[in-house]
Amino acid sequence: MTRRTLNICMVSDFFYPAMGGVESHLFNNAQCLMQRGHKVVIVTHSNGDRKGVRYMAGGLKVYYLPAVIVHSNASLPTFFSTFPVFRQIFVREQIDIVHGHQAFSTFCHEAILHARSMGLKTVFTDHSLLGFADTSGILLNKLLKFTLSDVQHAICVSHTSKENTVLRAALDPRLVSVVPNAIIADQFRPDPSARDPEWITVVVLSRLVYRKGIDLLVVAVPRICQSCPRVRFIIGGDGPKRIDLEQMRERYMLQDRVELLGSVVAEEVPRVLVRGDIFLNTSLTEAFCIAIVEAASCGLLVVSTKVGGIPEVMPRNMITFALPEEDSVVDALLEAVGRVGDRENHPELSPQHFHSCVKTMYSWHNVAERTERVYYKIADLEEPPLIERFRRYYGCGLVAGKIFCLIAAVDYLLGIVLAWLWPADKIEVARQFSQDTYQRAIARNLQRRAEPPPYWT
Amino acid sequence: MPPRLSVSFRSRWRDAAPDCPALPSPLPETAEEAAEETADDVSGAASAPAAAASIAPAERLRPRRPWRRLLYIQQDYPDDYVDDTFLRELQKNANVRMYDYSTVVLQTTVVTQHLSSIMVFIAVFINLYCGAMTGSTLLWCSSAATVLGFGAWDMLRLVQQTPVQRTARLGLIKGAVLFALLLFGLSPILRTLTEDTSSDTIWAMTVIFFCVNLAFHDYSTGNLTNIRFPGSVSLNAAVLASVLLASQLDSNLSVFAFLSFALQWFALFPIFRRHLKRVSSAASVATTVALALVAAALFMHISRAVAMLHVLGALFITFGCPLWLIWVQRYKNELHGPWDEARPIVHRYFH
Repeated sequence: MTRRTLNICMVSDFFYPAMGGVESHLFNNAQCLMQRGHKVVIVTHSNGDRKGVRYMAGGLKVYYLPAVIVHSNASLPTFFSTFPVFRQIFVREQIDIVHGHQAFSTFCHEAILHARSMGLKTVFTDHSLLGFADTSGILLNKLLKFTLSDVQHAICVSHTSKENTVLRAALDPRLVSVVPNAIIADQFRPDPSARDPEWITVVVLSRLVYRKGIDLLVVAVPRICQSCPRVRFIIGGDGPKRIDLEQMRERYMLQDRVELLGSVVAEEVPRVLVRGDIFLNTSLTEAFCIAIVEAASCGLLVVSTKVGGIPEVMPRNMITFALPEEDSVVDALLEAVGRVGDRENHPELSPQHFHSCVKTMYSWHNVAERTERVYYKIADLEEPPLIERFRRYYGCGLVAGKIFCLIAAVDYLLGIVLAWLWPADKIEVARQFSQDTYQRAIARNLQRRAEPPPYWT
Repeated sequence: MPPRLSVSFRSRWRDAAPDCPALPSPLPETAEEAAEETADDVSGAASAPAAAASIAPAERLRPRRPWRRLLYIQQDYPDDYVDDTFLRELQKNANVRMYDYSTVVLQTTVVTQHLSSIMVFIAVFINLYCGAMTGSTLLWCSSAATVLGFGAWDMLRLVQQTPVQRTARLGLIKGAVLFALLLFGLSPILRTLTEDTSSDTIWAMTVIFFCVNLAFHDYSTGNLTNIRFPGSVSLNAAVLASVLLASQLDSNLSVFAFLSFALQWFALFPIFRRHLKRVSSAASVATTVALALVAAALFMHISRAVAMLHVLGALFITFGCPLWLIWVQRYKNELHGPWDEARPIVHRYFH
């Protein structure tokens, strides 16, 4: 049976060269979807010298569009000004499905709006949790409601995230799928020789910001160091809370037991992780938390606060939960230290076993397969009439609903004008990237070098 | 049992591997180890979702395992499955407290007080501007009031048994004298600051800055000693408005008197009011009534309509708004759940 292949355009402000959960999700998911025979194009904003069209590993085509960055790597919202370039890309690449990522991304919202005006199918993936109480949450939720009013399907990375998104955007939960994140397990392999047997090493790798619960870390570290003379800490990452950690280290004179690495680049992460026995995560909110999966894959026993989607991520034998409280974090860490110290009698705590477990749990191929299932489900949905779209937008709120209708209507008219200025049949269609030729070239190279290619280039 | 139902996720995974060559190609030794060792959780509930999805429920040979809220197992359910447990941890209006009318009425006094104090300030300016009041009168009155207020504040601190240091008191007096001298020296400059600007512009800007002052004022009673954001914005707006107004006056003495009054009125008086509210709510209520009446009385000469409007406004804020607040509580829809950002509980802060 020949499967139908789709042309997919993923859009997000967050993509390589920036690093993070969304970025790696986009890249790996795209790679695996391409291996399943689909064509994937990624659209993001330009970053420094990285602008224009680039090809990444596996023939992944990335459009780096010019944009003004306003806040934490998100571009300036302009509503309509991106329509011409998005339309050119969608037509050129013969896109069937536009898949936007992350609620904070302006590009994602605009691409979905324009794609809907052009009658394309849209999917939205939410990667983070947001509360309902603060001003930014309220505003962003309104925007999310606008975008999600007219997407065919939404994807969330955990069940908690699904509940959050359904509430935030007032969605029908049956239109929301849960597809977790994944890791490339082979990049995170245990290496017992890297560990210092003299010590029990606790590794922390996170941005040092309030949301990652660094306040808890600051109070827990001296207490643990006091009660367990064999424990030392390696803390990687940078951020405003780093000064607190440095003060703590000075105050309790723990310079020889607390190592502060500063920011750690992505390729270095496995090398830092394998030095540890325990991974500590003190996040206050987390939709999925790839970091703990990476750590478990490296064979570390995980201690984590029980927040957001974290309880869904790993089985109890691999993770010790703590409440986001000082005493609870200390207790959980002490328990983990006890378990690690007694590792000889517990074969189920062996790093190799952890690694193979994680390998069976998470894989990008599985993610891509499940994402593909969403695509097939919506690819042939019947397009609702324009008035139905307006009806959906109108229901977004007393005032907001009318504004949203206005925006959608202007965008639709703009689409007609653009179609008259640059008729779709006059736009040159992009040439198909030949996977066969590419794979043959790779195989030739491999034979020549007889070593695996670097995965992330 | 048909084979496809018994296939575990892992073996299905291996089947799937040939037609999608794994990017990170699994190394043989780990794959075999993976086959040997299996976590309970993984093998237990693992089954092929794709295969299961294609089979109608009636054809099932064994009952479905109940759905579990986990991500690391492959379940016999589609990804968009909605379980009965969906949103079970949602808490609605969990920590909403219902307001008590009399408490809210008492709480509104801070707003009325501040509004009235701005009105009094404007009235003083108008009197000064028209010549109904001289700069020296204002200077004497405000200085006397400040000295009295300082004495009362000191007494309050004694009542509250806050440790009072003599040196601190001396420092305060020294600072005040220095500040007064500086202001006195600056007043000729401030008087001519906006000579080239039309008065209409000044009035409009003053109104805007007083609105900012009203909006950002620190109404809480918690912060007694220092002024923090956004209270600092409020104070800055008030001082800016005062400087603009003062530049419309015609004598140096008036400017000096007016600006020193402004600082006493907007920087020191709120601190005093906050202390008072802490010590005795009766005294606070009395201050509120007195301030509102003084504002109305001062405006009686200038404009009866404004005076009446002020009294009505104060009454509305004190008695109408609490009713309104309690009424809109019914529309409260507070959502809490596991997605909320946790508040870390830490006992020992180090400083």
